[in-house]
Amino acid sequence: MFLKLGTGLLTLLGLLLFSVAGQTKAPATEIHFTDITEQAGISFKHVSSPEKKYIVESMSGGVALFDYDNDGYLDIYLVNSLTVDLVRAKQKTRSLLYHNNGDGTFSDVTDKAGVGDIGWGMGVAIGDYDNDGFDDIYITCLGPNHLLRNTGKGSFTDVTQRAGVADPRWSAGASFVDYDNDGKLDLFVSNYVDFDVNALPEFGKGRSCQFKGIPVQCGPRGLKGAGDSLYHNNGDGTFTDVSKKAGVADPDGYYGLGVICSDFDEDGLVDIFVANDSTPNFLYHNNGDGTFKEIGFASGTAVNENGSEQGSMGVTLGDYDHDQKLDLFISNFDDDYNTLYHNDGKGSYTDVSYAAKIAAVSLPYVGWGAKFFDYDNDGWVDLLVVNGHVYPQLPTYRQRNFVHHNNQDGTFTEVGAQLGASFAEKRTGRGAAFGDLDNDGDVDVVINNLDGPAQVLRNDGGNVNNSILIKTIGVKSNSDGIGARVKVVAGSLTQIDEVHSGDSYLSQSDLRLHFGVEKATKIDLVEVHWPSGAVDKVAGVGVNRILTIKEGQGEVAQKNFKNVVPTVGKPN
Amino acid sequence: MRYFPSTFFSLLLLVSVFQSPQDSLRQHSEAAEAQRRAGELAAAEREYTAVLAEGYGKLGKVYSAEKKYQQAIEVLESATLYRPDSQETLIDLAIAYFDAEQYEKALPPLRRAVSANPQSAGAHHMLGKSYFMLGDFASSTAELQTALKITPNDYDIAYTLGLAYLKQRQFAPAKQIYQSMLNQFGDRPQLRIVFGRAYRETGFLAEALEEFKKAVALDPHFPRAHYYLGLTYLLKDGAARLPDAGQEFKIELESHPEEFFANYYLGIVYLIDRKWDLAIPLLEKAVRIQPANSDPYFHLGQAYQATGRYPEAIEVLRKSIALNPELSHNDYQVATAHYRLGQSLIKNGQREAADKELQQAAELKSKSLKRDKEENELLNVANLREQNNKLPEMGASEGVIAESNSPDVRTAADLQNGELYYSKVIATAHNEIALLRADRADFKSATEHFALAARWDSQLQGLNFNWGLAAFKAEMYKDATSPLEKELLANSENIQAKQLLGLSYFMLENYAKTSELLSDVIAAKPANVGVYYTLALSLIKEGKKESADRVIQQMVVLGGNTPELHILFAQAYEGEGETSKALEELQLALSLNSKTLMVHYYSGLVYVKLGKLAEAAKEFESELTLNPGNVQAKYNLGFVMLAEQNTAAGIKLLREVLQVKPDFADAHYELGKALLQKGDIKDAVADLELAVKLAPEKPYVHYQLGRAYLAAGRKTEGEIHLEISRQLKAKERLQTNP
Repeated sequence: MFLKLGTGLLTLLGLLLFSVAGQTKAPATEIHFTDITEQAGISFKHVSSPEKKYIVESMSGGVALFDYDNDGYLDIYLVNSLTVDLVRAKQKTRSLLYHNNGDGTFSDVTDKAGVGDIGWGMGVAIGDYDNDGFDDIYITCLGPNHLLRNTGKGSFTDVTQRAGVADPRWSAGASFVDYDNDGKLDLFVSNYVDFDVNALPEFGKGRSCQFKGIPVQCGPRGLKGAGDSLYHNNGDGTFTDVSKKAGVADPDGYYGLGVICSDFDEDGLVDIFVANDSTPNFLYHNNGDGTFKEIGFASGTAVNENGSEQGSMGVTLGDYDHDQKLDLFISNFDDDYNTLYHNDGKGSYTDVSYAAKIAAVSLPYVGWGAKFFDYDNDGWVDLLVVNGHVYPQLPTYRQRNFVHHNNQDGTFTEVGAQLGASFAEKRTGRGAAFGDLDNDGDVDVVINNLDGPAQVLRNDGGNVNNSILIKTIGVKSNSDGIGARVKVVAGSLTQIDEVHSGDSYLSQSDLRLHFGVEKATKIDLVEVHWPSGAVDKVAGVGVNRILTIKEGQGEVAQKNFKNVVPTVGKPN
Repeated sequence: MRYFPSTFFSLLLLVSVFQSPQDSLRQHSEAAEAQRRAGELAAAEREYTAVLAEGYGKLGKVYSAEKKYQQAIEVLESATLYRPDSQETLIDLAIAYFDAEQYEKALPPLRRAVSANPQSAGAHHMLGKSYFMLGDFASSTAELQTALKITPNDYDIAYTLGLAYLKQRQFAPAKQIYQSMLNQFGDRPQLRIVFGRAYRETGFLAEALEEFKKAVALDPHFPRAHYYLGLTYLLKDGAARLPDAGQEFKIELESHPEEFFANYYLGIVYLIDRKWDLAIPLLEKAVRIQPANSDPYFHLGQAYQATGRYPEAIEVLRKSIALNPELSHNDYQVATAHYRLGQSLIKNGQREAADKELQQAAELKSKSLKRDKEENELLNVANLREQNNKLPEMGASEGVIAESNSPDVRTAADLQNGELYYSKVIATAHNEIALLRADRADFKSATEHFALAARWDSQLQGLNFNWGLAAFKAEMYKDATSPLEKELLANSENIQAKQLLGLSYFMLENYAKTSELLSDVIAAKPANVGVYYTLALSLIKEGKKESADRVIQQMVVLGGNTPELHILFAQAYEGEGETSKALEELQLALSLNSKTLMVHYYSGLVYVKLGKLAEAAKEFESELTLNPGNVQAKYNLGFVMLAEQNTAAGIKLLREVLQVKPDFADAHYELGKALLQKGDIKDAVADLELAVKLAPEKPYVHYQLGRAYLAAGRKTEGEIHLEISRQLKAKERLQTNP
């Protein structure tokens, strides 16, 4: 979450960084994000204590966008938490699942789905762990986590105990990942602090309980950390904890939050990245024999360019400079900058945050949910960062969110204020998930705000440019195609992306990959590199449609976007 | 053999030069000398003890001034031993503990001082400060209030009391105190600075800013006023006030261009602003001003690295690490320095060296987290108060980075002279006390004082010989060897020292050394038959029978048919296994002089070898009748008693032996073994643990301890010692059967 100052002024000074604002290349002005929360029927309100006397009351909650009933529309799952007082009073809160009605409205199906009572929820990851064609939910909690198996009939069954993936610690990030390429999704879980609600650190007392002279909640630095977990999928509905054997158990107890799994060094094996709060990040290199080697420092991703560990929260990957390599972005605590690591290839990264002009603006903000996404379909991924402080004692507690527009020259310009009133509002954002809720060809955003109502932000005008959504279905690989790397060539634009389970901050975005192609009317090539090693290529696809590619079969379906004119290609 | 004479006269000269006639050190020195001359030895010793108390106290002050806090503590603790009721010493000791950040230890001497004098403002003040540092602000406030009542005009007490209030978030009484200070001393910039720092350290950042602004308004050129203002902008508002902070640092530099902190922090502001070219000269200047401070090098490294000056970055980062490798410094700065160094090495094409640095950085970052957790855990688990409080002293430098405030050259030289002078005073007083104690045959105590004298002045005339002699007479043979070796190094012709050392080595069963040394001694044809006897015995033990014969011949010529001669013959026979002849020789010795020491003892040993335990016991008893202090005889008698199943008597004897000679490994072993057999497992373990500690190389000791542990249910430890025993035995076998 953050690196607290205490009296260490040098730490502050080492972290503060200023720069002149970047030159703005204005995005298309007709695009804006409209807050449709209320009209969509989303009434979820995240619960947290007003004072946030304990760190555990500041860190929830995730959000997931996924199509639980396979009707072609993204549904929304919002994770709720508890407070110390509610726990003591033995009261409950509800996490909510909203079904997308396909007409801009959503229906609360929580009770029917049986996903409401999850305890002190933190985050969520989606994956079809049993390859039955229906996406399952993994929810991280303070206390035992939950694996909810999708029955395929609009409901979920809690199979946590049988599966053996409860992890009773304070879990935060999670990601389904097929680390051994056996076609079955395994599960990585990051844990944060070894926290006991019955032995609470005293508010404002102690070195890590002061911020700029103000008494605040304690931690995480100084609190006992919790290790991380890797569960191997046995293929029979059960998992085996292989954390120690695999070398990812984190015996030092770093404060794990965001998780993202990707083939960082492009050796055909998926690696694991953990954004650690106030401690160096982990990059676990997959050795291919069931074990991993931690190479954070050697890769340059453990700390920032100054050598300082940051208060890392959310994490996302995207090829912002079209060099066909996925770069890494991490959101951070205030008086510290959000960090963009450029992928130099062969597992080596360079902190280019200042050069990319995303650092200076972020200094007074605490960043959480974040994702590379192309909001204006110009073929270059932009970056959205959700902000909000952890200390309600500060005047800067509520904060606005950022949209960094990609200037297509290696730099970004923060343009949030130009994208609608919702980006001028100050809230306490946490999780953020991205996906085309209305299948109209541009990416919408759902934000879970701490101790407040969620926000559904509809992208209006992003589809002024053309795009394509690609849904992957694995056969030898896992059925979601998680881990598949997709290349899209449209004229002079060549883009890549990867299917990820769990990213941003404790959240799940659309598993379908979105590629803006500006004014291109044809996709010259779609190339899918599956985790199994198989490659599928589809050529000459029209834009403004959802393209489904099945492993070994190539294109198996197309569906036009709603309210957008399709171009070349087969009619819908 | 006699001791070298007193050296105290020279001390008197020394004291007369350095001390005024009114000085109590001089007074005690003169009184001691007068009493000694008058033969009033007890009174003389009291005066020497007073000199020690005074000398240690003064040396403690010198060490404190030199910031050698641990040494200060050590000597001030000694001072309190010699004068337990001195308030001044107790407070000085507490100050030394305080300066060494051992706040808890500062409390007992202060409580003693307060108990002796409840009106001691100094003791109450230090108690207040110590409680403050321990985080007990309520107690701190109470003590400081008392101190302030006793001395209402004490500026330092008032200031600290204000701080204690602020720590308890009691703003009003703190402000009131500070206002009264303003009323008393006038509105001065230095006071505003002091108040500002107090507010800043206690988290009242807005109030701190106001005070620093007032200081600036009172005197825009007041040293560090703008610097403090700039720093507080950053602390309060972070990045948002960076330009304001930079501006203040610039103003500070206009008035005080050589001010380290202003250069340093303005450099960092530019660094943060990524204005490398502006940052570099400021940080380079900071390095010039404080070349031994690791911090400006650290930041300069970043600037050089950012501007592609990798070799220079590598150099300054290495310097930063070398100057302060302490992990805890500046929030674990050294870990980051290793990382930056690694990055610069990569850019410089030194990948292998870089990887080492990156690995080091990773390990140090991990350690830093562990430290933070341990510190936090300690606070929580033990319900301890936070102990990282800062007490910004009014005259002290900025707390964030320790300014070099070492004393100037002249003061340093004065302190060095003081250290030397008081060391000599202490050494001489210890020497005199040792001589007095030796004169009354209290050799053990004399040995201790000679050792202390040597610690403070090893060059004191005659010291090493006296020390060795006292130790020898106290039967502390091991302790005797070192000073006697030193004496012989300095004075190789000192036959007395050589003889003492030879005899000491004999007692330590180092026969080779004994033979070497005593061969030199008898070359001077001494009249003491004992020397010949000892030498002959050593040679026999060494198996040099021909040489031994020659020495025995000389002994016969010198002393005739003596009992010692027959003891020697007995030992020679015994060594060759001819036990009956050995016993005959011992009887002959007795027939010449029935009171000859050691004859019965040796007879006892021979009987033990023969398995005649009853006879052996009788002999040891006879020896003890002649010489009740013969520890070996008592030990062997105890051993025989145990062997004869007279366990109670055996245990009693061994306990008596250990009272006299607590480091007697075999006695602990036999006692432990007996206790174990008796079922007294707890005591058995204790004695066998001591035996292992004293003789870790002996397998049988580990074996018994292992058994004792097993009997006590300490399975793992038991198995460990049984295994050690097995390994030692195997090693012994290898050595005996190569």
